[in-house]
Amino acid sequence: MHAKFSPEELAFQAEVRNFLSTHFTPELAARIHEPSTFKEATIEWQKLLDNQGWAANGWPVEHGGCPWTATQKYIYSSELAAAGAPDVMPMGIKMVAPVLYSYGSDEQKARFLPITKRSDIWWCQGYSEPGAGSDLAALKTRAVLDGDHYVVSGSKIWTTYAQYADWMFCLVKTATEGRAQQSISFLLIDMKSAGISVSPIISIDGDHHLNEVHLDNVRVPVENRIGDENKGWEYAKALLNYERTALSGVAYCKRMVRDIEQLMQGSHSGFGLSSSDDIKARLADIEIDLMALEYLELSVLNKLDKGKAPGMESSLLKLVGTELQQALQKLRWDVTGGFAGVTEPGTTGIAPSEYLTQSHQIRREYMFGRAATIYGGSNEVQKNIIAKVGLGL
Amino acid sequence: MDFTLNQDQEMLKTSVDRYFADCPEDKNPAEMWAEFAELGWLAMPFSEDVGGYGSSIIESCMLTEAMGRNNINSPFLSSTLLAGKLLESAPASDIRESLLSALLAGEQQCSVALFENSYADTLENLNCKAEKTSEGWTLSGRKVLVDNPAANSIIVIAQTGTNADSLNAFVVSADHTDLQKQILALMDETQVQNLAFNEVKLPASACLFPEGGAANALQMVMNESIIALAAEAQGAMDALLKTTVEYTRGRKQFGVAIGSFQALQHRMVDMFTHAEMTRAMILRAQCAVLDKDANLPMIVAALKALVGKKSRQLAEEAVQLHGGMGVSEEMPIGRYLRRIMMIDASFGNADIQRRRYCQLRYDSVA
Repeated sequence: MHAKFSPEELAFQAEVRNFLSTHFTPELAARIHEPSTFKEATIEWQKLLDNQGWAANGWPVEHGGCPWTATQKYIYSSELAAAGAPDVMPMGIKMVAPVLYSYGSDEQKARFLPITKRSDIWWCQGYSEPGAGSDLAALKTRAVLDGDHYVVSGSKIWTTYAQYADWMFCLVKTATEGRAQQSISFLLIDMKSAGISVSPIISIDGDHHLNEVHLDNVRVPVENRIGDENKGWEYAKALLNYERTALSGVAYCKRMVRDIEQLMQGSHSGFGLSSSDDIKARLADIEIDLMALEYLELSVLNKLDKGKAPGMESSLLKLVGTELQQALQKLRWDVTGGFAGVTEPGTTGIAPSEYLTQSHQIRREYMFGRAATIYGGSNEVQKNIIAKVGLGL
Repeated sequence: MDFTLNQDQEMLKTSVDRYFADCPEDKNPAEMWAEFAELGWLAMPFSEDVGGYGSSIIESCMLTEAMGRNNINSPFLSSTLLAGKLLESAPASDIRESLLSALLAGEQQCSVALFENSYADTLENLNCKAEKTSEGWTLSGRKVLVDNPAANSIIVIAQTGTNADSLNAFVVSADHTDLQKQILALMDETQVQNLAFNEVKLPASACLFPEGGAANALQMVMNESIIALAAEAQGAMDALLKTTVEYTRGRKQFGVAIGSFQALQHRMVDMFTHAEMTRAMILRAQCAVLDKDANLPMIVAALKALVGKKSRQLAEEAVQLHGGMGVSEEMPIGRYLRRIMMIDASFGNADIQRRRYCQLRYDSVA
C-alpha cells in the first residue's frame, strides 16, 4: 500500500503540466470566463484537449479514450484544477457518450461519438421537467410513434446551456401503462427541429446558464432512440453514477483553498481583510474534511480501476463534495469583508475597481454554487439512495 | 498509488477479525496477552533485528480496529506501539535489549509517562526534570494519566536541560521504592496512574537516548500510535453504525419499523458518512507513514481532529436513534461512547488538534 507516484506517473504529471502551461493561456482563460465569448472559447479549449488526445480520456480506448489508471486520472484532474483550467463540458463527453458507447447501435456510435469527441456538437440534457425534479420518473414529455418518427411534446427545465446546444439527449415517455420506470425511452433530438423553443431562466447569480425547452409536436426519427423502447430509465440510471462521481469536485475545492489563502495573505491588495484565527479555524475544518474526501475519491477510483462500476459511493462523493464546495464558496465570500458584494465600482476611481472581476467571480460562484446540492439528484435524494443501497434501509 | 492489501495482510486481517469477534468481553487480560504473544502479534510491529516481523502501520491498525469494533481494552497500543516502538528507536543498550525481548515475548508490559497536567500537554511544555549526577540521574516532577498501571516498567519523558529540544527518556521500574503512585479508574473501564518523582535516583543506564535525542523518536511513535488509536475509533464507529441500523430495522412504532422513516434514514446516512470519511483519512495517514511524507505531523493532527469530531457525533447519534434503549446500560452503546470520548481526549482532543493543524498549516500564511 502506498500513495506515491511512480517515475512514469511523475513524467505524466510533468507532461500534463507542460501542456497546460503552453496551451491554457491567460487570454484563453479570460475568454472562457467572459459570458459573451464563453461558448467559442470553450469549444476552442476542448479542441486543444482533443488534439492532445485527452478530451475523451474516460472513454474506452477503441473509441478514442486513454488507457489511464486511476492515478493518472487523478493527476490529470488535479493538474487541470491547479492551472484553473476547466474540464470539458460534461453533457456530451461525460454524460451522453457513455450511454452511446454502452447501449447505442454501431450506426449511432459512428454518427455521434467522433463529433462529440471533437466538440463539433454541443449537447444539452433533457431530463428534469416542471413536474419532475427529484421524482424524475414522473416525467410527462410524451413521445408517440407515428410511422418511423416519434412525435414529442412536453417541457424540459433547468436545461444547462440549451441556448448553445445543437443536440439534446432526452428522457421521454413512450408508454402510458405499467411502472413509470418501464415506460421511458432515451432519445437524441436535433435542437434545430421544428417545434422546439428555448426560453432563458436567469439564475440568482444574474447569469443565463439555465433554460426551459418546450417541445411542441417535434418529429424525431426512430433511429435516434438509444437501445430499446421503454428501457431509457435503465440506461440513464447507469450513467447517473458516472455523473455523480464527477461531481465531488475535490480538485475545484483545492483551487478554492488556494484562492482563499491568497485572499488571506492580502497579495491582492484591497482584500486580505481577514486572516483571523476564526477564519483559519473555519478553513481548517473544511480542509481537513477535504483531505479525507480526496482519499475517499481515490479509493473509489482504485475500485473502478479494478473494473467495478461506481455504485452508492458516487452518491457519497457527490454529497460530501458539494457540501464542501459550498462551505468554501461561502468562506471565500466572507474573507473579502463584503467587497465581493460590489457589482458596480462607480466611476470616480476612489474605489479599487481592479478587484471587480474577482468580486464578480466570488459572488457568482457562491450564488450559483447553491445549485450544487440540488442538481445531479438533490443531496436529499442521494441520502435516500445511500440509505437504501448502502445501509439496506 | 495502490491501496490494496498484500496477501499476508489479507490473511492477518482474517485471523485478527476472527480472534476478536470470538473474544468474550470479560476475557482475563493476562490470558489474552499470552495469546497475543503466542499469535506473534506482540513481535509483529518490530524490525527483524530485535526479533520482530517487520510489519507496518497497516497491520497494527488491523489489530486496534478489531479491538475497537469488539469493545476490547488491551495495553497493545500503550505497551507495544508506544513504549515498545520508542524503545526500538533508541540506540542499542543492555536495558533496551532486555526490555524489548521481554515485551516481544509477552513476559512484561511497559508504558510511557508523558503528560503532566492533562492530555492537552505538548512536548514543548513538559517540566519533569532529569539531572545528571555522579552515579546516574535524579528524576523530579509529576506525570499524569499514565496508561496501564499493570506495566512492569515506565518510560518517563523528562527534560535534561532548559531548552525544549532537551527531551530524554528514562526507564523506571514500576516497583521502584521511591515512586509515588495514584491509580485512577477511567469511564472506559481502563485504569491509568498519576506518578510523582521526588528526586528519584536512577542508574546511568536508565537513560535511553543520547543528549536531547528523544524528541524526534517520540514524535514519530506518537504519530503512529495516534493513527492506530484512530483505527480503534473506526472499529467502534463501524460497530455503532451496524447496531443502529439493525435496531431501527427491528424496532416498530406506529406499526412500522422506525428505520423506514426518512428523518432517521438521513441521520444514519450522516453516521455512515462520518465513518467513511474517517476510514479515508486513516488511509491517508497510513500512506503518509509508508511513504515517509514530510507532512506527517500535519496529517496526523488533521486525522485526530477529524476522528475526534466525527466519532463523537456518530456515537451520540447512535444513542439518540436507540431511543430509551440508547441510554440504558443494557445495550453496549454507552460503553462505545465512553471509549470514543476517551479516545478523543487522548493525545489532545479535536480542538487542540485543529489548533495544531492551523499552526503547522497557516503559520506561514499572514
